Amino acid sequence: MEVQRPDFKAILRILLHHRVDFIVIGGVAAVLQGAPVTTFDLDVVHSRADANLDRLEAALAQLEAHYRDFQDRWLVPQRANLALPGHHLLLTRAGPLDLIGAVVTGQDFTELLPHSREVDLGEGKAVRILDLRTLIEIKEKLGRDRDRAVLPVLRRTLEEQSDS
Amino acid sequence: MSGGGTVSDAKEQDPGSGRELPRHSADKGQADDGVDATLIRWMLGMTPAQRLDTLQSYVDAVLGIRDGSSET
Repeated sequence: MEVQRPDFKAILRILLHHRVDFIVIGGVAAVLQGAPVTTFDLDVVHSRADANLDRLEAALAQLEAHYRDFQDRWLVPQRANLALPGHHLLLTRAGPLDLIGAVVTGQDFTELLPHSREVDLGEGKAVRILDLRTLIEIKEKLGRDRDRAVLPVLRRTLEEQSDS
Repeated sequence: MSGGGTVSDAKEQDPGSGRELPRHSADKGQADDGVDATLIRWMLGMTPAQRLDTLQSYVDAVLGIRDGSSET
């Protein structure tokens, strides 16, 4: 199996370079807000607006993105599928990237936008991330063991944020 | 701190002086759910860019160990 080491900044840099509208969710969003958790992939909810799909396609081409669950075939995400609310588990030359049309609560980019904020990553780069409270709600709804395991850390981080 | 247990129940005695010592987990800012608040406060003391760098370093180190590379 091919191995690409995750390089979160490299993926984010290319998405930003192509002016893709997206919200970082999952473990990376949690870390950016101070939660001491770990993850090996980058989860992103992308805007499914027509113009954004054009930009996203260009970014994915530069990232050499393909579906990681088809080890024997190089399947590239198609624009028509990216316009749907499903999940796309991709492997890029900078590591795993999960593109999500809509989260488990049914919310898509537009609906999650009010629950997001921009954070500065330095070098004039800023990314939009889902706020911790909404992230917790999504993980509660998902209810998988791996989501439940991280919930105490996320809740405590939210408490500590409020206290500080 | 959240949690159901009382600190006094868990206090230990210093064998030298006989004075009560605080519970170790209380020292670490650790609640009964096992969450170490000192780690959270450490992360909250960083900028978002530094937090991402910390995650990246961790991932690099773990995969470096797995792959037996010298990057660690």
